[in-house]
Amino acid sequence: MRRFLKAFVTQGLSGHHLLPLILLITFLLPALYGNCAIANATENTEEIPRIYDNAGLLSTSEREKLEDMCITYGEKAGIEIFILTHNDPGAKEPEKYLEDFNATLPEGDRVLLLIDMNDRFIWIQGYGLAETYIHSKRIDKIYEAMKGSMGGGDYVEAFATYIKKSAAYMEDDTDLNWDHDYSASSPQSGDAYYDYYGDGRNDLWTSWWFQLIVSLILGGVIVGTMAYHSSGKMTTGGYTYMDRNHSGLIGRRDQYLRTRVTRVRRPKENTTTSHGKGGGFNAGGFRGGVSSGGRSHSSGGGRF
Amino acid sequence: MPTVIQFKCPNCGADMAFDSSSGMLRCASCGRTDNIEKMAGGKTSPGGEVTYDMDEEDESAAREAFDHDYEDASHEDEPASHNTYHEDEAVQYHCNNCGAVIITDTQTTATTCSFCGAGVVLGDRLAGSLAPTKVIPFTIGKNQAQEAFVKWCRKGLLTPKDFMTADRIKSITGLYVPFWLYDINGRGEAEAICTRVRTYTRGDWIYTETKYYAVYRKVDLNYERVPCDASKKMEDGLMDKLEPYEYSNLKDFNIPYLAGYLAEKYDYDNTQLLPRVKNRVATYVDSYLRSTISGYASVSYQRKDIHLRQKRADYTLLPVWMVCYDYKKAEHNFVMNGQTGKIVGKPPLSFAKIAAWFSGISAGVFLLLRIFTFFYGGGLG
Repeated sequence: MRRFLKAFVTQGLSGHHLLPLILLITFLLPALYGNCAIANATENTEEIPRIYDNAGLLSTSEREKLEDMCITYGEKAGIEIFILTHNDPGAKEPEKYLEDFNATLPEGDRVLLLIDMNDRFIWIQGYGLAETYIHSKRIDKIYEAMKGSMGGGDYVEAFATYIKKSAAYMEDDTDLNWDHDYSASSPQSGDAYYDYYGDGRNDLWTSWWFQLIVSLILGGVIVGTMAYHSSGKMTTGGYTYMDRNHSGLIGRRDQYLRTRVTRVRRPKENTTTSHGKGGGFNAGGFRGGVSSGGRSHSSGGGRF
Repeated sequence: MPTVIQFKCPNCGADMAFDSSSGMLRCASCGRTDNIEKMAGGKTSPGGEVTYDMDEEDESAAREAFDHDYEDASHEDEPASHNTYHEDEAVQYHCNNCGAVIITDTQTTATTCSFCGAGVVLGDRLAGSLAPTKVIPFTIGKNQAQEAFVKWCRKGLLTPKDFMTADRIKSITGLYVPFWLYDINGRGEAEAICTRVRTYTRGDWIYTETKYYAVYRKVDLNYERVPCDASKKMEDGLMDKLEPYEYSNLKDFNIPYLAGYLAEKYDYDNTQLLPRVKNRVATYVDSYLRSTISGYASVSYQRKDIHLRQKRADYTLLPVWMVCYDYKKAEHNFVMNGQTGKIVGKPPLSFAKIAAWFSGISAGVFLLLRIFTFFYGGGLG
């Protein structure tokens, strides 16, 4: 279309038929405008900023650079790449936070990254095609790749890794996850996902293999102590030989120096129950969930 | 000059020996008993009680809170009272009864004649610098020792069944083991930064209040008669485990106590063993210092000084029954406190019993945990 228009314009300028050209332009203009209006309606998320740096990790120039990267890599891969950060101790859990953010956008193929600076937590979700391509196992790899630079405070590097890897995974057609039916009943213990909500620990204590290990260790320690003491115990100590009448404390001083007060926010109750519905693993061991609005997504991440 | 001392019964001329049940010298033939403490030739001591007075230095130190006590030149170990010994291995001893050569090694101070069985004491090895100051006589006789050992074997939870019958005692020997009993003065000083922590909730916040204190402690401790075995033959760890000995029965040394038993002289003098006993007492002073700092959530030491001084060292013989036991062609040696009957030594361990205990305990704990999980964890996960 553009090439045609350009050819037409150059032709028109080079020729001497000015009137037909003007006529043609007046005829074509509304059509062009209409075309543009339709394009705006379908692709208006392109106008939405991709970076929401509420924690203030990036400078203006860094943000602009990354914003560009999000758009260029996203266009190439056919997804929208978002980055969110916050430093709010009272914020919702990452899973819900991203689900709620996604609910403000029209349905689409996108990947979301959240950095919770308060809990030092990285969380990534994939929606639409990105759920299939950027599934939890790939999210884990993205997380592993960016964890180091996040921990080191090199946020630009971490975000760039996230953008590039996300885009790259969209072109990798091996081992995709088409099954978007996650069930909460099959959680994998020891997972960062569950540790964040505190229910992974509970799962560890009650798992049979953990209890078996505890039993074996306890048995070993008790029998070891029995064997060790079979040759007799040392039953004397300082108290046996001390002459109490001529021993004691002859000098003491307890001097107050200073006081230091620290505070932490009281943990909210119900954090374990508010999460979980729809979240879990599918038959293939992929992790994901469904938002309250019914949008299924992949998810993953962990501490840094 | 080798001197062999034997105790002849004034009534019948038989050899007398120390009797653990009565604590007297007894003639096995006619039953005559002699009170050792009243016997001639023995050392007499007024009262026999050892009293301790805080010496001048201690008192002045207590007054001044020990601010400069470590600079005091007199705060040093007292010189040893017995410190030299001449080995004379060429000397031969002959039994006064039968004239046979008494088989001894260089450490032996008392033994029995291997031909006629008479108890003999080698007097010259117990004289001068080698004269023991104190002794705790045997209160457990040979038969009692044997019974106690059998009883102990039956109690072994991990020992093999055929060991528990204790029917292969090869030999049981009463031996006076040389010890040094040290009186040690220990002074310790510690400076530490300690904290007290309080948590409380206000609104949405949990506050943790940490108060820091500079804590100073100074202790002056006196330890009396800390034993340290002076025999090369005896394993230090075993001897330490034999403790405690009851010092109310500590007697001034007198040769007849050794009659009928084996006895040895020390291999190490008190200066050689001093580092070992100081190490031991240092841990006592250290734990006492720790115990004086209480009421704090955390203690981090900035400085800790422990200074130990030997106040006295007594060469003392302590009674030990040595039990040699044959089990599966290997000898197992046990030692028993000859005063209290406490037994120490490595018994053979039964693999089957260890396995049974291990699996029993593990299975039991596992079952308990599962039951607990089932009732409180909402089903088996």
